[in-house]
Amino acid sequence: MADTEIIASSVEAEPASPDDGGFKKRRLGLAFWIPAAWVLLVVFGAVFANILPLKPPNVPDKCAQFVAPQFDLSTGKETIPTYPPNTTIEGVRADLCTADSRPSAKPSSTHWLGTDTNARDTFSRLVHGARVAMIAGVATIAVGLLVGGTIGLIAGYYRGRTETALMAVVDIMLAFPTLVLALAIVAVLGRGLTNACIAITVVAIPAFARITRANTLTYAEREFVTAARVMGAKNTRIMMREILPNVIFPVVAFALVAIAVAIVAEGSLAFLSLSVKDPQASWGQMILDGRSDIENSPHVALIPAAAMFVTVLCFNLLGDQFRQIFNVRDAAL
Amino acid sequence: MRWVVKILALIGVVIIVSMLTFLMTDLLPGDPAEVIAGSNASDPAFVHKIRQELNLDDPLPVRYVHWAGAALHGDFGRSLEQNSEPISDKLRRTIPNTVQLLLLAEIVSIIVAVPIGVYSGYRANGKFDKVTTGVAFLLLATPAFVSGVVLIAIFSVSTHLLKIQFQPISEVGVVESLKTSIMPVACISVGIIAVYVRLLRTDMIATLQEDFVLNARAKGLKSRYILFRHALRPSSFSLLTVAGINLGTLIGGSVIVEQLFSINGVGNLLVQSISSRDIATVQVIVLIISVTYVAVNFLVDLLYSSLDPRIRRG
Repeated sequence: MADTEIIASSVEAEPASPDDGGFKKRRLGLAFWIPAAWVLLVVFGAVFANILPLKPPNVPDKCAQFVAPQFDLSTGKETIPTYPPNTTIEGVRADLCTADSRPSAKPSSTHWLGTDTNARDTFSRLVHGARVAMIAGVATIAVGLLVGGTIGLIAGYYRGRTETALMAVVDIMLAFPTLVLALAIVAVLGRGLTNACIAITVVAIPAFARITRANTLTYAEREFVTAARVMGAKNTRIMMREILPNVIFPVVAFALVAIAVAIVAEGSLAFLSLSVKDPQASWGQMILDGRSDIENSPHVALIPAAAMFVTVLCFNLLGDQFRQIFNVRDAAL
Repeated sequence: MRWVVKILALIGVVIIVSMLTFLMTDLLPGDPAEVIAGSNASDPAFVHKIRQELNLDDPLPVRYVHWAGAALHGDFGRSLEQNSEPISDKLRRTIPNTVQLLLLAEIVSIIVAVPIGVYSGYRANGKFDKVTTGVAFLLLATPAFVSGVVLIAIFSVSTHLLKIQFQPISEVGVVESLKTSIMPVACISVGIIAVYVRLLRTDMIATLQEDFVLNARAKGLKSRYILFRHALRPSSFSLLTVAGINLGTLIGGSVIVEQLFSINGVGNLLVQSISSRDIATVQVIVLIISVTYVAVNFLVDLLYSSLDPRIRRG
């Protein structure tokens, strides 16, 4: 296809910085593969969270009740109850229970990443939280890209009154600070993951409309568009076959970064208890849970915080790589 | 003439924003009175009282004019929980804390970011620049609630240097209050510092290629003088624009941070009001924040032209 040739030649003609070997070498760098591997891991966990042999994410460890320290009022001391061998209470071998099953337990062989404040398995919740993060990141941005991209493409291609009207709507939406707009939408719709995702999507649309329009503007006046028009191509065809293939790469690079922003946005809403409902796991909600007991067991909050940090960092790195490969200028943002 | 258009546009945006905010109650499915009543919707007497108090039987435009008119006079109505308190009282309690945080965060961000950004631009691709670019990239990937728990774990749990609980100036005095502001402000600032450093660096590199810098250097001026007196001002325009837009990020960050450090601020009030479905308070807060946001960006626009003579004449 002619359009892909144009992109390929323009990339080869002007590499982002002169001292690296160009297109292929950069694409295979560690800065691409490490984040890509982590993202794949997160996606894998998100897709197969239900099938993987994980501990139940939303139920406390059955052992927790048997190993809780008992406070003895008469002596004022804490004692840990002991059980004779082969004691079975409520179908659980109480004598085999260890302190690893307590709430906020440290990482151990029983619970790889320890337990949360309700004695639920942190690793399992992390993997199930990955599913929430991926839904919130990918689904919202996909819809935001589709709707915002269409608005931007139409505004940038048709110009004139269409552009003025569409961009006025976009600018009004941008008059609200993003998190405040998202909070207002959640206030109207009520809390819950679906509503949080709707809020994030609505907030994402104006950003995509702007960046797509900015990129469309630079291509709408190019010779190949004029050529297509002279050859009798209709507007829809020019937009879809001539402009879209050029515009899509910078927009996708932006989308990768936007996924990171959306994951943070869902995390923020969950941290404010406005996203997933208890007991469902989301990274933001897990951090909130760990915050309540941070004085005694900071790892409960730090583990999901680390997962979120690494994931966001990886999406940012991937977006950066994409930008370098396709020579996207920051000015277009 | 240009200013007349700009001010008219500003007023237009403010009116539309306030209309959309006002529409929040009517956008909800069902009877607005029941929606506003929130958790008390099952009490018909209470719902009736709300209908009377807010004139909900009037047509929408009439109600909007009433609401906006009262808001212009600083009367934001009452919070519609059972123990109804004037919303302006709630705001009076919370706004000072939030403003304290936001101002400190903005000041700290600029104080930290300007020298770093200027120096990285001056020695672009040097060691210092490579380190700051890397660190900035890491900081950009750190949401406020992540940096917050890390800071708490380091400074409160491990070393007991700082208290987690924020204390307002009105209760403990300036010094103590500032001490408890360190962590919340740091949380909000980290991401913003990263943005500012990257921007200033890029602009600095461009400015330092200009002829007037070469001229200054040829005159034998010291590097420091050239950087901060000659190059900083023309390099600071995108920083200024972004500082305005970043107010949105700042407010978003403060909502999170107020929750994290139990600060009695506007963001906390907003989240609480959403949780208790107190839509009347949510409306007022959304209105105030958005109007402030729009107004600040308008002021930035003004400042922009006074900093850059080319725009003033053009």
